[in-house]
Amino acid sequence: MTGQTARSCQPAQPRSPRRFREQAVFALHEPHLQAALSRAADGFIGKRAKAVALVPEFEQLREAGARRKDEILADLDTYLTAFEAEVTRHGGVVHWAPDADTARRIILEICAAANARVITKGKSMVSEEIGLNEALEAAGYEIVETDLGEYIIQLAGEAPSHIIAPAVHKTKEQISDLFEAAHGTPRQTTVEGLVTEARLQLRQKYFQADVGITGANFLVAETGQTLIVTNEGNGDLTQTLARIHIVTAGIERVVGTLEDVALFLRLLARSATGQDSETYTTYSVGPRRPGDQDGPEAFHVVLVDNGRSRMLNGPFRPMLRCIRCGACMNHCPVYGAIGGHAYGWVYPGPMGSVLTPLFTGLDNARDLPNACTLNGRCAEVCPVKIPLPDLLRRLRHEQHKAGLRPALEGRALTLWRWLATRPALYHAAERIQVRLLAAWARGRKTLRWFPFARGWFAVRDLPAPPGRTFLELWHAKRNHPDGVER
Amino acid sequence: MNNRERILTAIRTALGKSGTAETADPAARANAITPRAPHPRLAFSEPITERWQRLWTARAGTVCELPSRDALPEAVAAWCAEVGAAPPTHASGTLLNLSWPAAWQLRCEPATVTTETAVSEAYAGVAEVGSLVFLSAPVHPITHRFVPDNHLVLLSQSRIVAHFEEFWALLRDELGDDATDWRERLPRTINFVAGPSRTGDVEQTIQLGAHGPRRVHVFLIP
Repeated sequence: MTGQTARSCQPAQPRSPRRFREQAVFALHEPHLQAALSRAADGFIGKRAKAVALVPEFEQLREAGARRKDEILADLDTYLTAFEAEVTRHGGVVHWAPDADTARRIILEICAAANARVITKGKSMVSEEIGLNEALEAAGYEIVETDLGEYIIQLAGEAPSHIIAPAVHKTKEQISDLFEAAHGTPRQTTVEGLVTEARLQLRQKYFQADVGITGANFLVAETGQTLIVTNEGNGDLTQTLARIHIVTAGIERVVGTLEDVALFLRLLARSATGQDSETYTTYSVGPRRPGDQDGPEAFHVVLVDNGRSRMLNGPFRPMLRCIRCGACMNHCPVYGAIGGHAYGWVYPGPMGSVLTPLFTGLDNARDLPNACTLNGRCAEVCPVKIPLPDLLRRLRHEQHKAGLRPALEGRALTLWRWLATRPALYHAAERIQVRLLAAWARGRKTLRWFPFARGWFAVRDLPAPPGRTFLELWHAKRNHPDGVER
Repeated sequence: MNNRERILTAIRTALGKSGTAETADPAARANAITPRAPHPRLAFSEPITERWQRLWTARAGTVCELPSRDALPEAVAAWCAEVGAAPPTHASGTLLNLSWPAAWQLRCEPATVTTETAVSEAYAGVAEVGSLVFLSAPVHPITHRFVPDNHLVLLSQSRIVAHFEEFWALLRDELGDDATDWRERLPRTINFVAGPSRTGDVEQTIQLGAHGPRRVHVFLIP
């Protein structure tokens, strides 16, 4: 697909990691998206930098976070069974879901047994991963996403484009349109008006809900508690007012002790939103206790594997350290240019480019590990020091081994390697190239096209080279110092 | 093999462990849940109460000081009059024993969609992040912290700890005793609250009062 056709139409098919190129081209030409992205990037990066600068211990915290996560992952079965024992002690039920199908079936069975009708949901990326909303809707339940960002994209019929700011791709005007159409109320044009309208709409739903589903930022092996961290309080209303609380969590969410939680909370809020802490941090275990006047009557935790245990064995284990803060995507120039939807699946940005091929298959996401400039910013900001560029490079290597890369690419790289390991020849080739380009420029400062490179020049110009290579200029300067530089 | 065994076996195989999760060394499980060498903390030289107040107000929480808990009813009435809020209808714990205006008909019930103002006592405060801590209990409904528009909170300075670690040490100490593991008495819910509810989901503009209280005001006693 060329840029021209993409500009004029929505992608005709559902999004998929397989169609990354076409989705990225579409995203680059979507004016609302570009406006929203340029506003978001500065905010996220600046806020994080400011919060981190106030904590001289931040580097120590990252080291400790990475180390502790590795310790836990190396003994993951022990932590999970300890967690399970504590949940059971407090009257909760732990369910184990090896894959997305099983996770959906478990949750559908709980909802059916409870004769549920209305289901409220707090933010949960795992529920996106297992396709929970579609399954619940198909079974006839009314599903209400309660995180404001999730609510907005639910009205739009879209998926989240960011793991902590799911509606980051929407402008205020688009949200006004969505609310006006969905609520049939007078159009709200201010942020305050929009937030108040969502508050009033969702209030009723919390009280009507039969089942409340939340994710979990952490699971505590010591106490069986599940944690949610929110700014809005929606997750708390969801889990407190519904008759049944279901927690969905990946098996890698477990930590050992409450002291471990303290460590990861110090990293999470600063990395995610540039705050010292989010507004609400809630620890829950079990149903309401005897005599309690509120809180759910039943408590279920669904532990989802869905490919995670496979990742434990081998070079991708560090990816399971991820605490889902979103800092890697906030600092990624590729994400900043195309947003989250272009990645085609649940997890976008650098962490998504690692997770998507590992969860859905190398063959299903050929472009994602290559949609990276290896600039390294994601690894620099990752609160648990996941070597994201190394993992992406590793995925490229695996793609090559599996024969998933184009033959031409392999031949071109072989040729380049042959040349690059022969310095004399390489420099000779460079000399020819710059002279050719300089001659082609015929005195102009910029080159606008060159034979066989029309695609490259379609969206950029090349400054014309001076006719000599960098090395030639450097040697000339060293041999004939002009008295200024030495 | 059931789903639980499938996952645990897959994990153990990936980690190169032999045997089943059930035959695993009980010492390993004990080790997993035992706090180890302390993790790094934020060092600060600021007095604990000052830091708590500074961070609390930086997150749009408000605070005033009171000489004692007996002064609370009058101070609550004054605050409600000042900001134009409805007087509280819901209160919890021993706060109900204070001499409140009879007209308010204060009661300890779950908050409902029409509850405008509730008054609570915080179990503790954490200076590290400037937050309040609440435990759930029969006399401490969770909904008081999330449903009303206004949440008024009594906090004793003596209950403010420096870091999360000190809070958990305090809780372990106060819930457990020689005969009982503190975890037996773990409440259903522990809420850390750092200011009013907020959202940045519309164009990253911070707006207070997303779903929870729009105003959280603390009355600080010695």
